[in-house]
Amino acid sequence: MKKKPFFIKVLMFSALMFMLGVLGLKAANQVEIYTSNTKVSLSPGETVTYNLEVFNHGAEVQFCDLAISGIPRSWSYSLKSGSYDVKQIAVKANSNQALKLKLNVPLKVNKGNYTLYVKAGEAKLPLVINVSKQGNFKTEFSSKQKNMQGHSKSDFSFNTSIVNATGDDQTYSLMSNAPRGWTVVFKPNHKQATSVEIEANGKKDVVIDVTPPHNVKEGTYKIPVSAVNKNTSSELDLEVVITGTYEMELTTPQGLASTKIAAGGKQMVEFVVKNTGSADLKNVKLDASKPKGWQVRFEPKEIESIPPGEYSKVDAIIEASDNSVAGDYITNITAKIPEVSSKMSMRVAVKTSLLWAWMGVFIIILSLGGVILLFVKFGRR
Amino acid sequence: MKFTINTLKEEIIMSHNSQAISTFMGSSVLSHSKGEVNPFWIIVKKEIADHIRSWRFGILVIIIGLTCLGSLYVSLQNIADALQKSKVDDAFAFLKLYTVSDGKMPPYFVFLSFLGPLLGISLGFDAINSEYSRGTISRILSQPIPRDFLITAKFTASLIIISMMFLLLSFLVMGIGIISIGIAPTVEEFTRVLLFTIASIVYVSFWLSLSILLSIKFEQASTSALSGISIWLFFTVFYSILVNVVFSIIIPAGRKLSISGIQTKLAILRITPNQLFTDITNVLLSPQVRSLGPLSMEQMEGAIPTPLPVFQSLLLVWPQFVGLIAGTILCFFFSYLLFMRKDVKTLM
Repeated sequence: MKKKPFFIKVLMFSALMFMLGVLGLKAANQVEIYTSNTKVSLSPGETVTYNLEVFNHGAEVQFCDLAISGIPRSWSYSLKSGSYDVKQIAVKANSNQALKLKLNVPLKVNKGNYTLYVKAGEAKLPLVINVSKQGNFKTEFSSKQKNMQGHSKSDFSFNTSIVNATGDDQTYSLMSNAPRGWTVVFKPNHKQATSVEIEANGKKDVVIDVTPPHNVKEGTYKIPVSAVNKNTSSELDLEVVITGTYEMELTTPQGLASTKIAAGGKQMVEFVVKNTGSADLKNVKLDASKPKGWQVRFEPKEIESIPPGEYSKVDAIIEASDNSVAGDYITNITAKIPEVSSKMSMRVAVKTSLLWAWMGVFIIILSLGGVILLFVKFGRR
Repeated sequence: MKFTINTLKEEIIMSHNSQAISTFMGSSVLSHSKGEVNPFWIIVKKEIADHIRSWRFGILVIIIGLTCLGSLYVSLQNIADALQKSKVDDAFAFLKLYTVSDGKMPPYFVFLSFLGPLLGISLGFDAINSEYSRGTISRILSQPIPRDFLITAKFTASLIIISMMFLLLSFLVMGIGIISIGIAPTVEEFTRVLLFTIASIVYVSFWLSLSILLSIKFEQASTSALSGISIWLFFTVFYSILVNVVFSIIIPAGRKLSISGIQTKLAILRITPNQLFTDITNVLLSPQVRSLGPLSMEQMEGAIPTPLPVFQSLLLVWPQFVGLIAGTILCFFFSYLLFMRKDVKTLM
């Protein structure tokens, strides 16, 4: 109801113009603009091209400044003569000149009629564009299952879909803003990609593989992902819940798994208990399966707590039996909590104590001393 | 002065050993100009020359050399099989040359434990008493040399001969082994072979010093030779039989020996030098041997069958080594004592 008076006004104005022209004001209005499609119906995002003609009815060459008014700011257009953008044209007497007006209706547009005016010198041509439907520029990034739970070593695979509700084909770049250490991989067509192209009103399923960092602690993590381009964007928050895992590794600082020990002697070996899981290891006890008669003491006997990714040192004092024979022995050291345990085999090379060797040397020296004594006593006689 | 030396020379020219003395005398004259030559080494040189030229040494060298080469031949025939049977990571391929046999012919070190004593006895049984019986002792001792030079030099000369001979044989086997099997010994293996050679030298020198002792004790060379051989026979053959018989009397039939019983028996058997030598060779030439006595299950718990390092092997048989060395020195000690106390004048 509101637009009708405007329309009527336009009609009245044109009629007035016509009348003025008829009434011998030709000298002033010798220029005329013409196009065939004065009212077109368009949908958002569409482009229209008007073929305009500027007539010169006069007997002289007319120089006409070109202008377009009444066009909404977000719309883009171009006015060309041949292949050039033009601001002014010259039309010969009793001749016409063709112009091309290219107009792009943006996506973000309301339904309704839009009138714009093309001016060439004194002449003015109203053009009416009817936007047939409400413009839509939205993108939807969604997933039916946004939350996933698993342990720290598992991969999380989210099935998401991107809906391009705009009236145009769109290329989205796929981005994630995951916390440090997390790996997020987008797989639009079962292949890793960083961007995806979706046709107008199309839908694309995107698989997002999320890998937690190596030493992730238990907890809930938000992984924001987004599909972005210059026109539109959409965000989706994925949620990963890491359950605690109990994993540990028992080793030595240098990874050396052998040591030497004298029979009946002591040897201290440093061990390291690493927490490779995602939950705290509490009350880690150390134990050794050893040859009989051997002693293995640990300092400390029990480790109170090891946070994930951390390690704790333990000294083991291995004491070989007095009557163990020289050679290599295996001692298994185990670190355990009720949930998990880790074992390490230590190769212990037992050496005979040198005490009896020195006794032997002493005996030989003693007997040699006896001989030397004889030499001294009886020599040179 | 010169005249007396010349007459001395003529006088003692008959004696084997006195030739050495005469050389010494000659050189002692020149010693002012030439520098001092130790008379001890002259006697040693002369003794070595005597031994090498003697028939009995030649025969024994040939026997031992032949058995050595024979055993080497047998082990070369069988080493491929032995290496295939043993584990892949057996790093002691070269030592197999000294231990492998086909079951018909014993390996070299077993031969050595039999024949070594014979060599030692033959080198020493007439060391002193032959000088007495030939009457050359007084001539030698009338030279201006210390009296103990004679016995020490005789012992040293025989020791040098034995050492040269065994080192030669060991390196001969090593050389032939490298050529024929194409494996060079590792440092560890080389050390083991060297220690084995030293052990055989010590073993033979024990018998040598024992027979020198006998040669001083008995005036007749034949008596000392026979007594030496009988000691050898007793230790190598009868002693172990005797021990077994005694143990079978003490322990009732059907009952097994306890661990301490076995240990006692082994300790009694180890009085014999050839048992000591066998122990040494077993441990040195087979690195996987960890103990010479019985092992309890407790001791073997957690043990992994790896070869011992050479030093640990040596420590394992060190008591045996010490026993042999001390026995050698002890025999020498007594022979020295006996010789120095012997009244020479009565025999002159």
